[in-house]
Amino acid sequence: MNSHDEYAALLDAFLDGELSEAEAEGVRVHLSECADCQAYVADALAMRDAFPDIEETVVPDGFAESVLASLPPRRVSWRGQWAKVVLPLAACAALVILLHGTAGRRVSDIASGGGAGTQKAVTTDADAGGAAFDNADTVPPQAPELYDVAESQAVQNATADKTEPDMIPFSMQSSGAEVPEEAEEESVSNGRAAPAAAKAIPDGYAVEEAFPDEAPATGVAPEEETKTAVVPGEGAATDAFPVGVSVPESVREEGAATVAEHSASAPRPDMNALLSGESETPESREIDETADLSSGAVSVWTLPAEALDLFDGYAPAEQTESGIWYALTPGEFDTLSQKLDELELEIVPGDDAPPPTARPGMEYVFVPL
Amino acid sequence: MTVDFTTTPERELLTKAARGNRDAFGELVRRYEKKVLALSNRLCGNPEDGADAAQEAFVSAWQGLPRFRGEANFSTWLYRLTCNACTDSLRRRQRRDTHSGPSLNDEEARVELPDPAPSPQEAAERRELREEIRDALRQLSPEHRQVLILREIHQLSYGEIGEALSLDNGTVKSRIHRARENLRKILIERGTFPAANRLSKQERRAAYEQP
Repeated sequence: MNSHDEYAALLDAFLDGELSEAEAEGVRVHLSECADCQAYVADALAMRDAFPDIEETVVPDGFAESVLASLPPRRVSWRGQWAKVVLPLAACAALVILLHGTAGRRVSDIASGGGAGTQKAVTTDADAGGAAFDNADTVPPQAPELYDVAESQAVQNATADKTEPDMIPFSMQSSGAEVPEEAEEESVSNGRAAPAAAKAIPDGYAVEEAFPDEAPATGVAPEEETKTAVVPGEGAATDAFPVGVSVPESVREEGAATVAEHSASAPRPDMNALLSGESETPESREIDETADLSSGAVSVWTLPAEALDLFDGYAPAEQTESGIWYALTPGEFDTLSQKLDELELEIVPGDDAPPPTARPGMEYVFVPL
Repeated sequence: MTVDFTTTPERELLTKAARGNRDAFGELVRRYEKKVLALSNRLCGNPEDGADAAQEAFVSAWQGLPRFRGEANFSTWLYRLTCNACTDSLRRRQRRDTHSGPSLNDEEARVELPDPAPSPQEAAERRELREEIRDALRQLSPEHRQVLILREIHQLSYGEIGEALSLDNGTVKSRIHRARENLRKILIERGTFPAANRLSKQERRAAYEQP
């Protein structure tokens, strides 16, 4: 039997519905015997009753409008990566055009205006999305302009990005890196480093259209499917994971007629190794200590086709007619998951059998073509 | 062209707004403005500072949305931003007032209390309890005001309050307790609450039958 003081300590929780039914019942019994506690509860309820109602709140006229008017432009920290993006871009674009006929289906789909959704041509500036593919000439001249911006920004942003632990640095494995339209847009500081413009996903692939309700900014869905809490990457992006980043809506909205071309980012992994020159090849990766090769378990996952970009620079484990298998250590898999979270792409346990070469302890991810 | 987001689920609004869609964010503002203002008006003690702090909270939300991971509810997070904005506002006011007069400390203004408790009849002639509460709340410390408002006006659970204010459950509970005690004391001192047990036995029974 609890003492009076013990019950007295429970009164607020009782009032606030935080007790179990059994505990509440104990308090009720005590209240029937204790005048002091009764008085406390009665007064608390009277006060509660007299508290204002939310609905009575008077909202000043035009409040929402004045909030919207005072919103600063969303900071998009593309800058730190421009040096890596722009420098190979000219070469890349030329090469892509060269490869136009031979590169994968995607590139040609897109070049011919097919593919998913509305595709915009690749340019590095405000060319109204014409057939920039056909205009190899237009691309290089633009690049120098951006060099200037990139260089001036790259330095300040290189440091800025590093000082922000909660930013998500996306390494810029070049190929097909797209240069965002917003040269004027404010840079940095504690904005996200995240959309470090590696690749833009064109409207057709825009996550919100492809997966309208799947993975909210809250990243709930991927978490449910795959793993434990995703923490905004402190150093989440290792160089092993080039990342495709969706173009923030602000960029699109603000008339980025030149959301750069997804196709340029789609070349096969081996192409990327050629193009980027600075990508970390799988062979040069350090041994990932998280790989548990003794566990005997092979996990199989399936990604949407849009995720193919994430594996640029990465050698496939196995290529089939319908898609590509990639082998990831658990550490790499975690990194991938965080990227997917950012992009709101969904990874699901896979149905397909893993490749025969599958090693235990590795995660096998299938990306359909 | 403005898209109509009035029926869009919140998750989608958050996603779009995180990417820079101002129309989606505008809808979020409309959905939450009353709740945020209800909190900020009372924490700041007046509607002008309250509106400023509310606006500041929404701007912080806009800027922080891309990083908002959703471990908390959006509303809880928004309340946290609101409390922060109000704390800033109060500090600024303190600094202003320091220069111009007696300083406020964290225990909030020591308001001159009215004469000792009048008789119940006189108390009944006084302003309604609702108004009294509003004034009495201003006399609480910011910490006590915060927890009580979140609990009684916004009906947040202890867990949610803890999330909003970065407090553990035990601290939330003890703050609520002290807040209630203090509020009650202020009301008694103002003559709104007679000091003694005033309810009849039936009323008392009704009081503890619920909540």
